Amino acid sequence: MTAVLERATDADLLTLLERDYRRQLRWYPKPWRTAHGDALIGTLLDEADDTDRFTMEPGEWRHFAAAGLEARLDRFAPRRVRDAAATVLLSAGVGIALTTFVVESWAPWSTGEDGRIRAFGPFFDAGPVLTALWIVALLSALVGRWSIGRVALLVSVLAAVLLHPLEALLAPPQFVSLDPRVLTLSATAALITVLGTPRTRTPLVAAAVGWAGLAAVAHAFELLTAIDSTGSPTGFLLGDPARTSWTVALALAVAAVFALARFALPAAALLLSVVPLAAGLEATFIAFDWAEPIAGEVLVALPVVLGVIVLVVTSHRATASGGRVRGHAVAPERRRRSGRAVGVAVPIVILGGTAGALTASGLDWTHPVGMSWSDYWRTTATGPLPDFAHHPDATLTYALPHGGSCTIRVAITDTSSGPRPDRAAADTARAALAEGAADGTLLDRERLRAAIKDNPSRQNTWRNFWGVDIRYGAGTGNYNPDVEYFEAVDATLRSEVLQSVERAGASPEDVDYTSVQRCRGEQR
Amino acid sequence: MAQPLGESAFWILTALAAGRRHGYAIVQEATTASDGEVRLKATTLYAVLERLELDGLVQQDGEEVVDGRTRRYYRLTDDGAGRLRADTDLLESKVRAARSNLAGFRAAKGLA
Repeated sequence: MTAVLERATDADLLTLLERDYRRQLRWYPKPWRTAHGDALIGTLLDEADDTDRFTMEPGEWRHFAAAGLEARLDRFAPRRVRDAAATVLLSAGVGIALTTFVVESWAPWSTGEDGRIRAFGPFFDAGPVLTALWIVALLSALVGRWSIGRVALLVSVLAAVLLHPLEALLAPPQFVSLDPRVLTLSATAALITVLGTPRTRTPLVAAAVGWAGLAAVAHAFELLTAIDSTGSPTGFLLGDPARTSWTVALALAVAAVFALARFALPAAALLLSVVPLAAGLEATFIAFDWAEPIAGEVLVALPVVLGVIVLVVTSHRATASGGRVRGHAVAPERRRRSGRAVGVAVPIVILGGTAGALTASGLDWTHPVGMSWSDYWRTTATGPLPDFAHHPDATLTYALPHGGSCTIRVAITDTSSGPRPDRAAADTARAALAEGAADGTLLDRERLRAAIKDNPSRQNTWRNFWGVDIRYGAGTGNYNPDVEYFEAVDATLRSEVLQSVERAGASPEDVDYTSVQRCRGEQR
Repeated sequence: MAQPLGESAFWILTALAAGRRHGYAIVQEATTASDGEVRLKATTLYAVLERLELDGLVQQDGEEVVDGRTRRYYRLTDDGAGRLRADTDLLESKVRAARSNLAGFRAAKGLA
């Protein structure tokens, strides 16, 4: 082998080196290789020649990987578009994370009456972790150490992805994860931000404060409009899919106007910035309506996503052929082509976005055709509390298997028609409830599990909006452990109360057991 | 005002301001002009050249094949020269301001 090397001429060795370099070119997209590949190889070989080098430098492949991957990224969204989107999303991410932290995770004014538990230290959920990571990213950008910011945001993506599975694995007694929709929004925004470098010359902090204010307004609006079964706002910022769809459509229309006015960079940057919202919308469908046979998510998300892709790609061309850089010569043929592309893309985006939003508004989100757990929870654990629940004989809070929490309020009514002594039945029932609630034996997890196990084939029917009775429960294909548990709690409580009455020698017919449940974070 | 040129872009434009050059000659010229401070990587060179070309600051100016190797020449456009001049003027005014204040600083020290 050594002999061969000795006999090989410099030219032979350079040919070997060229082969190595050409292999590295594969990091680049094909059009880039065609346009610049030979020139790059020529320069590399000139340099090797000049420095008497016949092999690649150790670690040199990394330069190819970085530059090649960036060139691939450029084809999707050029650097200045990515930077602009990163600027928008970094400030928006910090602002929204801050507001989410204050109104959802911390909510110092909340007494937990709605059944939420401060499960993560002094906070309701793990929101402060994400907020802290976003703030670290902002500070890193401001002090010019964006690589730290990138790492912080990638960690936040990892946290967002792992929170739910980790929780399922560790099965903590309470629900510490965030709403999957908010997690999707945060993770997508972080991923897009990482792809660019935020411009620190723009007032990032002021923008973040502005976004936080905007999110607070949105939260207040949510308080007024979308209320879940506990009477608190649902799916912060993404609570109403129809409204989110309209927001996305509006942003797309504004981007289209930008594109028509040949402001290609703001158009493309805005589009890229809307992607997290579209992703959050998609997560709404997946997390809450995925059993739905009408694929609402396809109807809404497809035109939106298609529009975004088409416009990003065409705006890329428009940006590439000059954007707003003044005065230099741009091949007129190229400009015409990008103009045509934008002309085609704009109607698609406007029509697609509007159709998506219309579809979203037109679909009755509350009433899907098959079994809908969201609908189940809505009908069983929503609405204003009935009168008796304001003065219940017992109020118990418990955790669902998937981490959500429920509060059950029970009232015992005396239904005896006889004279005073018969009231003993109601009194016994109330005493049993109070005692069981105090020492925690009533809702003992083991006891509930045993109750469920004793009756594994317990199946029920649920009448959906269309009047169809849907069978659900273990073994039906419509199985939801949270629902099973939720129903077992009520049934166990009722049987305990009535048994205690019987044990005391009174008649169970003389008491009426009434209960109402309100849940949060239930499995849908 | 446009974003200031990045470090690599500044040295590539400076190298091309001396005349049309092919890839490796740009690398060498940038090193010489910066007193050895700057060593452009070939991958960076072509990434930046592509961007500068899209912005109309440089232009391809012919190719030749030497020993089976492609040498692609680039030259500065008028816009590129204008941009480099604007950046240089900005740097110069910064340098002037700093020098003049530093001179005052020395004088004050001398008096004290």
